[in-house]
Amino acid sequence: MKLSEAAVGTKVKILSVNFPPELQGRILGLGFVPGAIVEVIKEAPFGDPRVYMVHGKMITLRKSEADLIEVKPLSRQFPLSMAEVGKRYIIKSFLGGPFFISRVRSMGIDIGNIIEVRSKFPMTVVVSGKVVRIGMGMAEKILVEEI
Amino acid sequence: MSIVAFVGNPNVGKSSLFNAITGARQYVANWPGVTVSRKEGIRRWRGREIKFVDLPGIYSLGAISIDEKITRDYLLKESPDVVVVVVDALNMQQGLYLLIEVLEMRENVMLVVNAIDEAKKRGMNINKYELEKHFGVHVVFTSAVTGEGIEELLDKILHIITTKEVHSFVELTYQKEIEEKVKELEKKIENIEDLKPYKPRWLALKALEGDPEVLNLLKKFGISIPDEESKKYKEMIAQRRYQYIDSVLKEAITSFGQKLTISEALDHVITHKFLGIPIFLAMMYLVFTFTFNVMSPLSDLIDIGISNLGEWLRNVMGSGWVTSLVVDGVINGVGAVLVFVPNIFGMFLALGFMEEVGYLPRAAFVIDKLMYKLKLSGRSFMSLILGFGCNVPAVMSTRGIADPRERLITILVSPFITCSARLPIYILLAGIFFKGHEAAVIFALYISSIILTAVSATLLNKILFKGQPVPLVMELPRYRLPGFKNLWLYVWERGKHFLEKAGTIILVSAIIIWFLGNYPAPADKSFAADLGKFFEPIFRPLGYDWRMVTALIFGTAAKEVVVSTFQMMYGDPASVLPNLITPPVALSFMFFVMAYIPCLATIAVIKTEAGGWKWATFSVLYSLSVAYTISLLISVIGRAIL
Ligand SMILES: Nc1nc2c(ncn2[C@@H]2O[C@H](COP(=O)(O)OP(=O)(O)O)[C@@H](O)[C@H]2O)c(=O)[nH]1
Ligand SMILES: [Mg+2]
Repeated sequence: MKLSEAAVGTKVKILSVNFPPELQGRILGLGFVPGAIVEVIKEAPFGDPRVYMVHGKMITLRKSEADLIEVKPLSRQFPLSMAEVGKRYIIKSFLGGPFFISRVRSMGIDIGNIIEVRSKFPMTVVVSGKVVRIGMGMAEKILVEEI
Repeated sequence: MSIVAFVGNPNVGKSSLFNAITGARQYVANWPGVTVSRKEGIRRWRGREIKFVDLPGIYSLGAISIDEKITRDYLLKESPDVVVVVVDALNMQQGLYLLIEVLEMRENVMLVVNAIDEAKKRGMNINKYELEKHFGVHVVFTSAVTGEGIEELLDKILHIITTKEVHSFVELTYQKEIEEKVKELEKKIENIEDLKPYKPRWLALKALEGDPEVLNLLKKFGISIPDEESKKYKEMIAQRRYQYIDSVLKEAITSFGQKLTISEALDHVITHKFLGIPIFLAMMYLVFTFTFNVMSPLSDLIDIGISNLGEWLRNVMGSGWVTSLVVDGVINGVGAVLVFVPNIFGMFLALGFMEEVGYLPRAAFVIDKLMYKLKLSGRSFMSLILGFGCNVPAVMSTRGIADPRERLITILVSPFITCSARLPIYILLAGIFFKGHEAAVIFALYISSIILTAVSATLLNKILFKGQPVPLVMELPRYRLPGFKNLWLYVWERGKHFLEKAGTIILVSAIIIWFLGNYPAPADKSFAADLGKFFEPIFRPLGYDWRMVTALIFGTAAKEVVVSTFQMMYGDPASVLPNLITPPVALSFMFFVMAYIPCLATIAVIKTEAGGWKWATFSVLYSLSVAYTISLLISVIGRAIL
């Protein structure tokens, strides 16, 4: 898959880098080399560009540029927004700031808890024995793993 | 004299070290791409004179953007006695990559691990001897801030100069496939007399990497590498280098220390998906409020001082043309500009703080989507921001932009960014016509200037290039607490330029204007009046008084001169102007000043950077027509409403 498709908060491993020759040298020099591990840190307003962490540096790339880097997923974590209806997941981490975290905690959503997706659009989940409605924005910031 | 060159990634502290060693005042900033041309300085050390050269920061030794080319050509052709590769202690990988590239190209290299103070503060532990062993170079830990390690660095440099001893020889071996190719190429290259100045292994590796300059050189001797192959080799070579770096660092870094969580929390808010843009606007607004409201009392003090000085001189010297020249010409003309020194220093203080902290690249990140629509990138945004100080360095800093098309457009639109020289005019007129709303009016002018820049960029892109977007590959530096010294250096270096102008071009202009304004007879019958009245018909639709026209003409030398001319022509603009023009005309005039002809210095630098008079002329004509159109609109609409 392409680096641009990796969800915020996840880690991927680079397979190949396919920039035009004028830029290829700089990109490789920055540490985007095959085998390197990249973490998707965050996205700008309007979703583009995004910040990536590679070899200890935070680098911004636009979607059109991240399209040119071929990667494979490393962690099995992905945002709850991409989860399937009817399946059960374990909550792994949060992408939001302190406010976000205290808000979801108050809803019974915490790291290590099991969460089941009842429906999407609108999204309803079962967690800590309660049924809760959550917004899509929130679901994007909750990283889960299949069990 | 021996020569020492500093090479490294952007923002690792090369310029700071250069300053610490040579005592120079090279501008440093917490964002990549500040040093765009090389700077030289001399330091005596243990009885020897050593010349130091500060080169632009780069990530690889390819030869694409101008700053990369400057560095590489310098290393190849000037052949410095010692090359010091500087890396950032907290993030050495990319710097070590460059070190490997430099080592393949030449001998006499050493490594400096800078910002060691920050590493210590975090409890990070780096083993110097591991680095020395695995890269085969001498290593010194330094801090440009505390001065730690600088003497040791100078001693090591002297040691290499006098003994040519560079620790040991370590050569990175690549994958088997690459090494075989290298051997094969090396054999061919060694037999060619013309290639003797270069290291054969370096040429071979660069050829495999598909380096255009090296391939061009080798083509003459019948050596070539197909594109598909070089793409593969280039990836493999880079991959191997990073593998090696990772393995060395695993041994060299014995403890990573603590990450700073405050920095992360701050970053979370500042570059937030929804809050990012409002925060950016709020920051800009704060800068302007600080510039006016906080700094104004100081301006008033200076104003009182200058008028008292004038009165006193008049009393002492009596009346006569010399007194008039000194008081009305020099003191009033230059004084009119000096009054704004606190505002300008205030603005630089605020901007400098934002830059030093590391906010600028983040602002570029936050608004990139908008820049992208203009077919520009956050990188040109950073050049444009420099223009708020002065358009000349803004144009110069475009050298770091890789794409020639984006570079040209950035050069051409940058004069629309309101430089600090235009600020006095805004403050003067806003103070007279928009009392109580100065900050808001001036903020609006700045925003308009940004919009104008954006619109021009879009237009030029459409007309000249049928534009395609340019990439945004930018590093976000970590947050840093601005050092007081550095901040002061920033403010002083830029503010000084303003003071120097007051002492030179504005002083000379003031004297010339005084003569033009008083001969053959004062005021209405002077040359200045002839000049203003000659062009006045053109400006009649805009509603400008002929003296305003004269001021605009003189203002092309330097925009502050508009204020000096006002002072001389009107005596006391605050009481005279409201009887001559309406607030909308004043606003129209401010917009004219914002947009019309770049000053002489900017025109000159556009000519050199964009290559030739063609673009400089274009810039003059384009800005004149834009200024005229906008101001006409404002005057006409203003008249219709009132
Ligand atoms: N704490 C600390 N900061 C440093 C040191 N050296 C440079 N800096 C800061 O790092 C930033 C970049 O420095 P600069 O000299 O412009 O880097 P250059 O791009 O490599 O020339 C500035 O904000 C400096 O104040 C150091 O040794 N310690
Ligand atoms: Mg520098």
